[in-house]
Amino acid sequence: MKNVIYIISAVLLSIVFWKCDSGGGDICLSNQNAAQAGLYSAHSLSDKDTVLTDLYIQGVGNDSILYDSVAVNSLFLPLSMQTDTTAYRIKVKTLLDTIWFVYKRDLSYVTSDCGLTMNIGIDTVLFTGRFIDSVAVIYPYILYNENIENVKIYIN
Amino acid sequence: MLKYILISLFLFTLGTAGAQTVTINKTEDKKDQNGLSLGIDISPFILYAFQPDRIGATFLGRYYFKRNWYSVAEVGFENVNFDSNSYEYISNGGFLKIGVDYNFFKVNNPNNTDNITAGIRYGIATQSQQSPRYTIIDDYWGDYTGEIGLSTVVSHYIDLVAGIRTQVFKNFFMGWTFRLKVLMASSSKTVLEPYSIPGYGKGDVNVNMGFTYTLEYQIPFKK
Repeated sequence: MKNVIYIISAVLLSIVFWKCDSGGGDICLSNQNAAQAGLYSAHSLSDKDTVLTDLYIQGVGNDSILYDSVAVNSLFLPLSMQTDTTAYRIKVKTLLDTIWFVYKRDLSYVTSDCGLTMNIGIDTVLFTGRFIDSVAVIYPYILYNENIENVKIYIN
Repeated sequence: MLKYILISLFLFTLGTAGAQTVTINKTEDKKDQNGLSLGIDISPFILYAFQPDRIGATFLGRYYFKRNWYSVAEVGFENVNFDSNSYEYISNGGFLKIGVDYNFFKVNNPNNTDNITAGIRYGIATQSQQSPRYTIIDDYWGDYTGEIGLSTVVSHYIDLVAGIRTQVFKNFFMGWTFRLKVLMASSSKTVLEPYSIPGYGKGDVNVNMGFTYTLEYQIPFKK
């Protein structure tokens, strides 16, 4: 009887050891602090995607070019976690606009394996109006592992 | 997976070797279920070989107070210290569990001291934790780093326990339990949640599974 008990014990312990020790393995995401912006035509009554070609985007105070001569109909604009305002210069051919995002930051816990993230709540979006007609904030929250459009940028 | 099988078979070999050498005295063994046992859970030491970030120990006391019933108390500590790409984490804490076990293994042999038990424990744990560094990656504007200061977390949980226990030498018992743990409450005053709650396991889940492998010495009472 004891031998049977111990054999069963050894097998069950193996399973339990493995199960309990197999913690972790979460897939951790990075760069979750970007505002998702869709580009739309300001001349359509309903939301109609528009593509900007020959597009350059650079963060104000950053030497790196975020978008370099591309054609896109949506943008991922990282918002700096060091400050409450981030500005970008957007250039289409010879026209140049600047857009400012004003937001609140909120430190949040993800999981024991992934650590922490910064959730962002957009307060206001300001812009110059060379080719940007208007901006609508449709979902102000930038949260970990969420893929939702935050703003609509309407183009003249 | 294979390493766990080998370790368990090693422990099984030790257990069966000891059991085969027991000489049972029929007159004395009627008292073997009675009295106080003190023991230690050796599973944290085995796990430390695979998870050196966590170190701890658990001690237990068991008292046979009524036919087939044991009262059990467990006390222990756990320290966690790791430094990953995402954050550095330090935690030091301890726990206390109290509960009962019921022995389902009933035979007509008074010399038999095997137990198959099921039981329940109420556990309370307290720990101090901090994160001296955390890093949130931002490839364009630069990574954000910060720290979270020392805070105390108190947690309450329930263990549902099932296992076996058998005498391998006179007054020496060996056994294991499989546990289903349910977190009832955990207070954390900062954004940092406990990586591991002493006596419970991973702090960011409401249900954990666990096991113990115990060695006990039953204090012989003289009448």
